[in-house]
Amino acid sequence: MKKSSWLYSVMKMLETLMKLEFEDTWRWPLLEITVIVTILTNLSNPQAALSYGARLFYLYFYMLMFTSIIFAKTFAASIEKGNIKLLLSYPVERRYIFTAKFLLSFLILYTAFFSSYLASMMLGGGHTSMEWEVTLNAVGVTLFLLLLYQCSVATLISIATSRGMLAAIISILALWRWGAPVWFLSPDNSSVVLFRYLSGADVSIVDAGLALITLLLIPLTVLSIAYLLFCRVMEFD
Amino acid sequence: MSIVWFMQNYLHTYGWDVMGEDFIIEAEGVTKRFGKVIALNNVNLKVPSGVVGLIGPNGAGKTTLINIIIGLVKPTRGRVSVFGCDSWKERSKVLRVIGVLHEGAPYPTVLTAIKFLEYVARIKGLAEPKVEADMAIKKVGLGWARNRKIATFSTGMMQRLGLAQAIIGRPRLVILDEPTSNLDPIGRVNLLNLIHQMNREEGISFLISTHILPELERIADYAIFMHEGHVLESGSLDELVKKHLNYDFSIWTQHPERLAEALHSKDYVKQVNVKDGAVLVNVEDRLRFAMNLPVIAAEHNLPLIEIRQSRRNLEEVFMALLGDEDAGNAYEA
Repeated sequence: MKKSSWLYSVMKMLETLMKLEFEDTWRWPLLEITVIVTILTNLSNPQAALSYGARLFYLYFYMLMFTSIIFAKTFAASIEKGNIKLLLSYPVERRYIFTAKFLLSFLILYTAFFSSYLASMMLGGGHTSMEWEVTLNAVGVTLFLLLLYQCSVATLISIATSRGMLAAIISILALWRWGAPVWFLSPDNSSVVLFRYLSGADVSIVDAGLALITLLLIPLTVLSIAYLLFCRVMEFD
Repeated sequence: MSIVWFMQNYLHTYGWDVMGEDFIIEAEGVTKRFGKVIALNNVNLKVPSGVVGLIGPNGAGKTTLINIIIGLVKPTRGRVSVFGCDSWKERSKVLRVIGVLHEGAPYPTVLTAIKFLEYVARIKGLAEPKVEADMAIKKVGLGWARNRKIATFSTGMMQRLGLAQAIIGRPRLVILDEPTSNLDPIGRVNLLNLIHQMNREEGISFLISTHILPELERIADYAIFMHEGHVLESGSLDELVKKHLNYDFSIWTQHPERLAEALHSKDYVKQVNVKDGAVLVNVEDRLRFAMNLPVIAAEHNLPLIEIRQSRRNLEEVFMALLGDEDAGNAYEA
């Protein structure tokens, strides 16, 4: 990639912002706690014989706790403390700040949860019926979409409240009370349809595609609203 | 990018001031409402280069104006241009040539000072972030603390760090919002000397928002007075003093009326008044007045307690602008 290209400068800006965010927000021991607790959560699952889909559902409630707290710190606490105002005093667009903050926390959480899932599988936590490759594909994609959904909701709530503690509490409650039904009972139970397709069950590609689109559209719509709200809040009105 | 903008901004960073313009900031009919509160009301302003003081009590609209200048806040009406660029629509372009120090900015305390400045240099898109960060930290006299974590910094060091992050990349204009708040007297003097030095040696313009006037009048060339969202007056310090203060000296003695009477008949004295126990004198010829005053005092057996020159006294100008009572209330508030 040419150093003078637009894409290169965008990537460099995102890299710098993500590094700064990582050093500022993910200071010891937040990252370590996230990874260790997610691994222990999976390993300590009392229902070891659960199917992987059911295990994912079980993991959902642990994920929402981390997601809510971390996104409250990433967005709401940053707005509250004035970190974003400071960043906006430099020649950087709002969209890059939003993207860098979201991407970093999302990627770290996804890596932590997926690796915890892998660890539990490797340590024998209920791997019985499916092939490894199929399982990883199915879990990898479904976990990605599930986390994307949780993160988008937590982002929206964090920006709307702009208060760290309040955002964390409301996100936990919202994802706990309404999150699971919305995600798992989305039209035609998209998450199950997609999971079954990726697990090699007899599901048509059209149904799987529709399920994927549904599961992508919900978080992307929420994220778009969150971004618009972020721009509005960052006008410091 | 227009050729004019390129010449004005990029060539400047190499020390070539090829297109020196008259005004660096221009505000036209700027109004800002926050709900029902009008923070700025139809502000029209032209700010020249140099050290400029943005003066007013708390709630005058200084910080709102600064936030509009740096493109953080969108004006409800009107526009602000900085070096010819619209501050809201061309925010990034504007921020490439200005630096900002916010009051009480939350710098990342877990980082070392030099690491933080390197990040700032990278975000500003500078070619050599390490070199730029190193230069900035040395310039503000924090070279010795470059590898210390920001969490361990004192308030004075924090303000210096704030100045370092603002001047990184050699901006043309640095905006400082209450830079001396929370500093002890020595810290204030040091910081203002640093600002003065950078203005004289490197040609960086400064817009300094403050409500502490005596320290500003020492270094400012130009002042903008704000009150309740309006610009009351702006101009060079000499112009403002000439326009609003109708006396040049305040003299305290045991018998002010007798001194006033003695000065009244002198041809180098234009006007004499007695107010609050002080003799306020407006003179024609400062040198003759200065030479003759001790003689007159001695002739009339009037020991002089204190003589104060009223030139460059921003507080008195502000008082004159508002009227004594209003200004007094405003500053107490």
